[in-house]
Amino acid sequence: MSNAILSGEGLQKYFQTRRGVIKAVDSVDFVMREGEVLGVVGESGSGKTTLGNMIVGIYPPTAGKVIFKGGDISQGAGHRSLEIKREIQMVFQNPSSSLNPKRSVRQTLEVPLSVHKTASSVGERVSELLSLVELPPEYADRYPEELGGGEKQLVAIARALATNPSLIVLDEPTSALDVSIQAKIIGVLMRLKDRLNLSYMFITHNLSLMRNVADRVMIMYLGKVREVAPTEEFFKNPIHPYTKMLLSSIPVVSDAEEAVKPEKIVSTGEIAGALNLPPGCSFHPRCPFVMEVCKSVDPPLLEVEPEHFCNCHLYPNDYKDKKAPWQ
Amino acid sequence: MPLLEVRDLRVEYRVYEGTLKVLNGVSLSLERGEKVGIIGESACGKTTTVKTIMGLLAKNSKVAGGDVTYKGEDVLKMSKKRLTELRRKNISMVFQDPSAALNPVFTVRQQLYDIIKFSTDERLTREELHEKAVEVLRQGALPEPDRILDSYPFQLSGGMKQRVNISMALVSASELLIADEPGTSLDVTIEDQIMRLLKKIVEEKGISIIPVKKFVDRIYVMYAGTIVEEGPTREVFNSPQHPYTQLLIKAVPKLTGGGIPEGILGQVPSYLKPPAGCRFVTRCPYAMEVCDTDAPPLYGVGAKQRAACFLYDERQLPR
Amino acid sequence: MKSSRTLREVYGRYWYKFSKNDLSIVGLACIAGVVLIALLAQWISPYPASAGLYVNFGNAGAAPSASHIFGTDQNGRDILSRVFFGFRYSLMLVAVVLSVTVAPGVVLGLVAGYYVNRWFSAVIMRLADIFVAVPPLLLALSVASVLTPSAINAMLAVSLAWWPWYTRLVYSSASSIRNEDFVRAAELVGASRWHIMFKEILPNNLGSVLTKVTLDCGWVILIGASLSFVGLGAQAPTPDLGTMIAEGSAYLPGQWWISIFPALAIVVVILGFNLLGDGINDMFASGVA
Repeated sequence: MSNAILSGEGLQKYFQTRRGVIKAVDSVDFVMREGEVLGVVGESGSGKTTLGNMIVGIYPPTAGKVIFKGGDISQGAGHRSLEIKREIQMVFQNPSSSLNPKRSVRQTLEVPLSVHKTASSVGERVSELLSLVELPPEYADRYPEELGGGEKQLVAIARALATNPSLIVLDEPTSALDVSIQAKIIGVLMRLKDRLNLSYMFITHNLSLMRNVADRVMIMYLGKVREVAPTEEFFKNPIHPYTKMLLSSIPVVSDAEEAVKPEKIVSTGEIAGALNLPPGCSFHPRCPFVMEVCKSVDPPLLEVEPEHFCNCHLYPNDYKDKKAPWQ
Repeated sequence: MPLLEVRDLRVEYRVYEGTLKVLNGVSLSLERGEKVGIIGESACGKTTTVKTIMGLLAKNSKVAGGDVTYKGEDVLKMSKKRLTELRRKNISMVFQDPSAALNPVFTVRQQLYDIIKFSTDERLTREELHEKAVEVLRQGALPEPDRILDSYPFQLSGGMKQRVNISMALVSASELLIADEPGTSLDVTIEDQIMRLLKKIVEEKGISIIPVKKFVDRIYVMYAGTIVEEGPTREVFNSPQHPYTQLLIKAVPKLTGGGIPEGILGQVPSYLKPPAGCRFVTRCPYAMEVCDTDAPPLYGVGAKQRAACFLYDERQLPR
Repeated sequence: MKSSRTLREVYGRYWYKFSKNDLSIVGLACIAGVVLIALLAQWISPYPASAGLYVNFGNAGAAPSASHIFGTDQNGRDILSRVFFGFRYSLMLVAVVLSVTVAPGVVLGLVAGYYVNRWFSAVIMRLADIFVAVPPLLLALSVASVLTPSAINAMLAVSLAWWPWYTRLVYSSASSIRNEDFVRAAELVGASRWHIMFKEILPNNLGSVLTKVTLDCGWVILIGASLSFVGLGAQAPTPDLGTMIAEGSAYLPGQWWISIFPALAIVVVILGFNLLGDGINDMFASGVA
């Protein structure tokens, strides 16, 4: 088992708004190992993007710690050392907003190079970065409007690579792209990971994608981690009722895939508003197995199988001996 | 007679660089009560096709050929008055973005009443309007119709807004409902609910629908302004025949795992100078000489599928 | 499929967007004409001496004729020549006012927009609000009346009233651009604030600033002329269009040409700048076609 590169301890991010406090991320603990792809999966309002933003330092957590390679990096990016900024990079969701329309690819890639002085020859390094993301060197002199969505995202990946980082937070890097292009981008990312020994925190709403790229999957719902497990185990034995609802809602193309979905849990209800979180377990208003205790007590995250964590009152540690109430 | 028939439709857009030849002979048909889907990646011409059917093309566009017939009437040559009449009473549409189709400064009641008044020639009393509004909201599976009626769009979640849109569309869609990716901007669990709702409505009311994704009997696969494959949904997904469909379906990440293949190399051709023959020729791993020069017709493959590809030509064509 | 664009392609596209509206071309033609006339006033005026202290009472108040197309004024000066020189004064006013106000206004707006949550952003914007709250003409009037009325003071007064518009324009777009992912990316990489403000955010504002500059040219001329009209701007014998209208108004309606032709000249300039501004706005507008 390789070492932890990144961990979060009791991470919280509350946003004070005029109408009340939004608990975007609430008491999140996680560990990410070196060289790992951790899939952070959730729907809108799950807090997955807020979590990613705290890690790269777009804003500091309200409480809790972000630990990177043993050091506390809970501050915002403005207070982090240049070295930490070099080590942790991000790729954003929207390809059209992630590149400055007025700057050529070369100008965009030169910024990290001149700040971090990681290359002796800037021009050579620009071509090298482009070849890393499998774009021809002529692309250096193009402007974003001349690039397709996938190409823009490749340039954004090249920009993140320019500082020789060890951890990249990928915030839905392919969700705005067509599937045939998504396949290309994922291929490039996976080759880069092996070649440059990178670790990815892959934020997404797409579980099918995570089935194919993540080493471990972490499910978030309304600011909390609901389930974490190694990918194989996660898809073979999903435990949390929300995970099951999510899995059975996924549109799939083939009968073979339909067969691996868990027993159908029909999606009902709406995701609660972040301002008025339900008391107890925040999933209880939509949960088909809701019990009295769920309405008042938020369950803790427990290891129900080796490496497989889940927080649900149905599953105390010895859940195999106990029968769930509907059985 | 099919409810809707599109034959060899060609649509062009005039821009600074020249003429974008977007639709290149699109043909499709739809029977009453049938659910038909069009799938394809962005800029494949789905939206242009749907807009042409609804008579909503932009000013810089031109129908360069083909026709669209609705119950035997030519939609493209229809008078404005008749087209409005169709949109009032027979055909309606649900858009991808749930907020874009609702006016933020009016309550659902005001907007829904307007649509109901517009859809009928009778003069309805307030009570009748209310009754009808509650009825369509019920069909849209919205709980507490009275609360919804007095809400402004911003007070509703994305899923609820899309249900309101569907309810509104139902007012005028007595025969045909066109849905342009009605679930894609919503969360998966909510999208699932919306799609199940649409399916139920279609089965109960017997109206036809062209949603762009699932729960359909038959699908058309579009690539760069052409229909490349057609067939029953299950067959197309389980055994795709056109090289494009095969590669596309391979590129979709599977819940069964197995990694992600390379996708489709190259790019969609420019609509300014599309290839003269098959539009997929630039990216096709099986391209033959004939593909450069001739556009393939739809060949029947198996019992119900058809694919526009010379691989299915009986002649032995040179590679 | 895509190759790098040549200069010609870039400008071709700009020109296509600009020229889609015929009125933009009319505006461009007007302004090009006015600028040429102003530059060449010495050589193309039929009576260049009329621009200065020149008196010919024998020919005073002559109606438009072949030798004096716009007629002559109460001192016998050729109005056409004075209008030509008047353009020169107007354009000078515009050049001075805008070169003094645009740069500081833009920089202040950029700073306030990028540091939107900091105290000095609020200070800058409230200060701008105060200057905006006073109508520019009124502010210019009060400045001009405290100081001695002169062309320079008129320019100063107009400048004081003008910078906040640029600050507000750039502030509103900079405060939204700062949330774009490309700005985030530059921050995460550790790029300097100077780089982020001037290299990342500013270039995305240049289109709207240029549009506003063009539209403002007309307004600055109008305000300058109004100041001159009430006697707080350029003083006789400077051939200023506002002063000319003011002087001529005493002879209305009989000798209508003395004030009507300078007034028409102002209309042409302002209309020209407005149409040109609309064209420039279209040019930078995004979107296909």
